Amino acid sequence: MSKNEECRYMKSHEWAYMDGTEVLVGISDHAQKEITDIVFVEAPKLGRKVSSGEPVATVESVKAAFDIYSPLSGEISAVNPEVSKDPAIVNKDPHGQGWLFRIKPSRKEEFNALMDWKQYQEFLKTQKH
Amino acid sequence: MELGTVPNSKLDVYSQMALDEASLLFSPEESLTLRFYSWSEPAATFGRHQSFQFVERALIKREGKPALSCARRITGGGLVFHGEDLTFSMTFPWREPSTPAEIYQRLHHLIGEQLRQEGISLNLKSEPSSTAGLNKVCFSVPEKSDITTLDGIKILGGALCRKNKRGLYQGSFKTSLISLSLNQIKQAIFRAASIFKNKKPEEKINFLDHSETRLLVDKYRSQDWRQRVP
Repeated sequence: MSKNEECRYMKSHEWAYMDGTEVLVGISDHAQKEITDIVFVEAPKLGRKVSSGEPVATVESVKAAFDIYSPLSGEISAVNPEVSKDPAIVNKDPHGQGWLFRIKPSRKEEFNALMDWKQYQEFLKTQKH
Repeated sequence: MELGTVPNSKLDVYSQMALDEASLLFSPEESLTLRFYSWSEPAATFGRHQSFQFVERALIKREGKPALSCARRITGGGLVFHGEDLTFSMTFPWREPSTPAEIYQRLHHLIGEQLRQEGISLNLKSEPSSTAGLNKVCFSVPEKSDITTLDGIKILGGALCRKNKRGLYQGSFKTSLISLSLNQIKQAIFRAASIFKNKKPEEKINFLDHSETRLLVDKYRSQDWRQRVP
């Protein structure tokens, strides 16, 4: 599925992978380690129109709920049914089987505005304290 | 110092949940807020992803009818019956790297330390609960890092959520289980919050008159929000 280096990233740690005309979205390995043991994924509704930066999904771990933001504007074209059945997949394979949803983007230029892998690695260094 | 005397501290469950979310969304990014509140009527709150059918069954089992005012929180965790508890919420900058378990453990550890300094004997549960799954009644079984009496009865439980760079903690404290006044307990929580973020919490926060908060009250009252996880 998506390779870390080929994805673009948000500061809130969602990744976006251009897969043909659609964009696959998940959370980064860094994010899944921060969130820890995910026990629930609430996916966005199919067909929902979303804007970039909008909270569109949530995950829960250790009595904590986390918003997941959309990296691009567009329409939700698919959600991953496997993560609803077994949310731990997101922890085990965040860049592969643990993808969350697909977007049919309405503004593809937003993809290039996201951080690339190298920029994301630099960004992560600034987050350490 | 008397804490918890902010206006609108006694409201219905939908308004209280809206005020907590407003504090999370509209407080300055680096601020630490602490709000103590109570209820205008007996109420229940349940976790962000709990099944509404589970909640209805639990209400019927306890109350004989599902009529108790209840609201879905934006934080995770289980179903909590309110009325005789001290409820409080805190919003804070959620700096990375901090896992929810670390934040929960640290906050409860600090509150426990402050209570011990008041002469109260208690435990911080160190082992995970043996019951799995989201659909739980919060005070039925202590979870890891909950504060309990020495014989294991839960005193303090809480839940968290993160939006952007800020976190919300909502806590429920069974004041009847320890021999301190309400104000002493509030003072202990206030001191713990101060140590938690190394700054004095802002307590006189009031977003009730904001138009955005009124929209949030409508959200918490709506069937769409309450029943979003069937």
